[in-house]
Amino acid sequence: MTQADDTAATSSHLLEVENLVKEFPVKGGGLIRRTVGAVQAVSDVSFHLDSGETLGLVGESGCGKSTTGRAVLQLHKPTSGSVRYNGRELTTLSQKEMRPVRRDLQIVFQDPYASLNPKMPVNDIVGEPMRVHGIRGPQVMDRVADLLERVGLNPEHGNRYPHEFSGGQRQRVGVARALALDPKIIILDEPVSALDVSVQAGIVNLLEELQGQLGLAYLFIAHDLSVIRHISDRVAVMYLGRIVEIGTRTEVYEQSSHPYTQALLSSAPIADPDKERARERIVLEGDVPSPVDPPSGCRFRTRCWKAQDICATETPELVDRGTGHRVACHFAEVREVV
Amino acid sequence: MSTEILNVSDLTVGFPTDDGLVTAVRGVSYSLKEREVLAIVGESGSGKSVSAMALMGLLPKTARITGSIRFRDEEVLDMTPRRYREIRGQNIAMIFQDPMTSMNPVYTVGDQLAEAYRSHHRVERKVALGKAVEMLDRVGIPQAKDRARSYPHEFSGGMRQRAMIAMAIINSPDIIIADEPTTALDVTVQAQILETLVEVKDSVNAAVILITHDLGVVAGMAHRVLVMYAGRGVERCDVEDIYRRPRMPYTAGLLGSIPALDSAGGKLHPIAGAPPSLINLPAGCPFSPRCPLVSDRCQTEEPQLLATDLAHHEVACHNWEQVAASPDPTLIFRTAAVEA
Amino acid sequence: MSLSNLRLEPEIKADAPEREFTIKARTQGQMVRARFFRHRGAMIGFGAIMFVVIIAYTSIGFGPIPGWWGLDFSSTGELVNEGRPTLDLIPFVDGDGLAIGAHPFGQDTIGRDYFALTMRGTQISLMVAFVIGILSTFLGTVAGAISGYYGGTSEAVIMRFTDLLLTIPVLIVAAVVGQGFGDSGPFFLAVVLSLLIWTYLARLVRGEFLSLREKEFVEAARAMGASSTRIIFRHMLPNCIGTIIVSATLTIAAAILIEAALSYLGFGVQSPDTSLGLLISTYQTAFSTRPWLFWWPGLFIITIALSVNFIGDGLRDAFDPRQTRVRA
Repeated sequence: MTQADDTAATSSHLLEVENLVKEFPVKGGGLIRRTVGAVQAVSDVSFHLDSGETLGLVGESGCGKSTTGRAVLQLHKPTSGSVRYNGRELTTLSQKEMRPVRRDLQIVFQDPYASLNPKMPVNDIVGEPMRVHGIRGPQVMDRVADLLERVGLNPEHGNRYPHEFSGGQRQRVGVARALALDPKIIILDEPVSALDVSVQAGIVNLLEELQGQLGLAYLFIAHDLSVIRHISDRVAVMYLGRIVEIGTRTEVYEQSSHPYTQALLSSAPIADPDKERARERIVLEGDVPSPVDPPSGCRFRTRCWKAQDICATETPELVDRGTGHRVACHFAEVREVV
Repeated sequence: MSTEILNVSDLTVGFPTDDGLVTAVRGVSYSLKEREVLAIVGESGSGKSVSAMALMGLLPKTARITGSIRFRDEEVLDMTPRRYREIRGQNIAMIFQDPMTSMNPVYTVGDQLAEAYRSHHRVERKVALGKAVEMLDRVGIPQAKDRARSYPHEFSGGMRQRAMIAMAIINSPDIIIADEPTTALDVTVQAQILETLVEVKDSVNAAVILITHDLGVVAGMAHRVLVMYAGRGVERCDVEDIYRRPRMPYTAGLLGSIPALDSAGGKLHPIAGAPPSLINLPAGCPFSPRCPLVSDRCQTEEPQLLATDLAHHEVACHNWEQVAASPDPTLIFRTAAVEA
Repeated sequence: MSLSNLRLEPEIKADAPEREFTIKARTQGQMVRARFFRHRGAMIGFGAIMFVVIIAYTSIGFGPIPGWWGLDFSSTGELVNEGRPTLDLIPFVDGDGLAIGAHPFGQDTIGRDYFALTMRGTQISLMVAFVIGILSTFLGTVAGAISGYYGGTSEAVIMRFTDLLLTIPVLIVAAVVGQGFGDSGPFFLAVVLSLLIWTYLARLVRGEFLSLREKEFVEAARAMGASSTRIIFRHMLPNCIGTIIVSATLTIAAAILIEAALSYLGFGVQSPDTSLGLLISTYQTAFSTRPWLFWWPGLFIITIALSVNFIGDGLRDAFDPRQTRVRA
């Protein structure tokens, strides 16, 4: 089944991203800085998201996952491609037209210390989305108190400032803010990476419970494979701007077929000394190539032990190669790594 | 029976601040044998990095350090600055978390390694550079000779960290302190670096103190583990015991709050609350506000690190027997409202 | 398992609320104030400038409001004791206590009371400096904010313009302008000078905005659909306030000296009005014969410039302390 069939048959997805491309121009020096190249942060990414489910987007630094999240929200204007929410094309909307749509698409950021304005009390931070959309009056404060309680914070502390809260609490404030306008989709950009281990679990639990209660759809972006496995229904693995493998959680973790996915899974440490020491590790050679000048054809070929000539000339499509889920590799082969 | 090369006893480090004296490390004790890997595990506020910096003598002058650090047979805290400089880099070397800022951007990598070597060996620059290239090769940097002439910013994150490792081993130290060496790196690079570290430590016969918060990394490398919380050691044992037979509720809680890579497990069981502020420590055991096993004694009397039923396993908890008795210690953190 | 029965464990337990906060509940404003008051130099400067301001404006009055000092600065009179200061600088030694006398700062060559003259000069110099400080800060902030936030063409235009202004030596342009417009009064001079000095702050504010623009809380505001105006005023400006205040203070300090220099050269304030710079200029040759005509205004210039500089230092330290962070 090709990708085109997929999207044509099921065009009722809550969110549909098709052939998304985002490039950042690299400017040279001089009086008038001309563009000398482009960072190809996101190169032809396609996926969909349905109500109530979590799509995990996993990859290492520089793979373009954060940029993808922001491009979906139109925080970065996509260079090309389509983002459809409820059937409506977002990339062609003006700022003004996009505003009401933003009520439904929200985001929670990675850094609990930078994502809250240090000069605003928490009540104002959580209430701001409502004020921005013209909701005023005592109902705002009531809802703020309700939201704070929902995320596990004491509403009485609402008049305090962000620096008075711990990292985990600040992240909860960020979640409360994202919930303020009753969104349908929340993009979570590494929401727990900056938190202590013992605090991460609390936030992950909170997100799961909220999803169950409110029917939210999550695009969960992270580099921690264990967290992704825990929370996702489906998983997409990104490398250097492209999705290399996408499928259900079970398919990606237990039947990984792309060499990069396999390398990634084999490198992630397991908290069990016997298993960890007995593991067969796939250690990749070399470094991630520059996104300004990515390799031709399959971008992973410079570090792949299966690379052949065809990998340089023909870009592998993200299609089902007999495993039931889609893989972008000419030599895809199921291998149990975890 | 390998000999003990480091013995830290009741180490305490305090910093005077605007809000009062912050005691970042409150009486930490552990020992390290030759070629042993000791992992010091803790979250923010645990004091793990500060205690390592105390070993190296890298704390600011305002820091107040008491206790004892015995390296082989010398008391480190009594050393003259000159003697300290001799052992620092030569006998005890350190690898920091962020390789970008740990290297001087205006000198080539080869020069910096050579400088590290010449600080402890009277040789010509040429000889030192040769040694530098040898080390870069040892840590797996391709084309080491050319690479030695590059600047730090020309290296990728993983390669920089390898260069840091090279700098640490160039003098064949007895102890390598690795302070969160892979936290800032991608997971595939992390695997490479840890592998390199293991090979390299064996080749120079060094012991390693690995400071981390990642229990997966610990599982792969450590022989012994010290868990720190709020500035003191709360559990000290062999690595298998940490995962299979923990005796400290905090450790059990940590294990229960990590999602597993190899199974799509059920619910995570977080530890309620957050690590305490070092200025505003609770009376008694600092973990008591978050501990499901808390009893009256916990809130008045701070437990000491004492022996348990297992060999080489000490824990600082009044109720450790309850943890020992439970078949799955992570169960103690399950909230009442959720059934399995 | 019914989800509606699920109770979320709150992170903050009602009985142990304070424990969860990692530091004392102090706002940033309180912390800044506390650090400022601890800065000895700033406190001395603050005291000194307050003293100067009070004495300058209350002694001879301002506008319609009269002062407590009997004499005014323009009436001439007889020279008493060749115009020497009557202020007893070494009190108590010859048994006569602190005597002020009729002309504590002496008199100038045509018998005007020099204390009143100096106070008048101080008033004008202060006024010019403050106007420059405030107006240039305002202009610089607006320019910096627009170019920093919007980037693109507006940034390019504004920044090239500021580059241009920066390459022109302020003193020379000011001299030319002062020559042409000096007669229009010191206030006008202040306004014109402001138009030349705002560029420094514009660069600073632009820099701050550039870094703030990437901060996640600004992204969050954009993600919720906030307008640019809201983002600039509600999110970004409040986070630059430290830089702006410090820069304003230091601009005032610089302005004092610029005005003094200009007036000294003859391009600043013109008579019949006076300023500290003009006083020094007029009486520079009296250095050896009537030193008091030179030293008193000089002393005031130095005091004001130093005090404002110390306050600026103190503010800068207060807003941006180098805290020893405890790595754990």
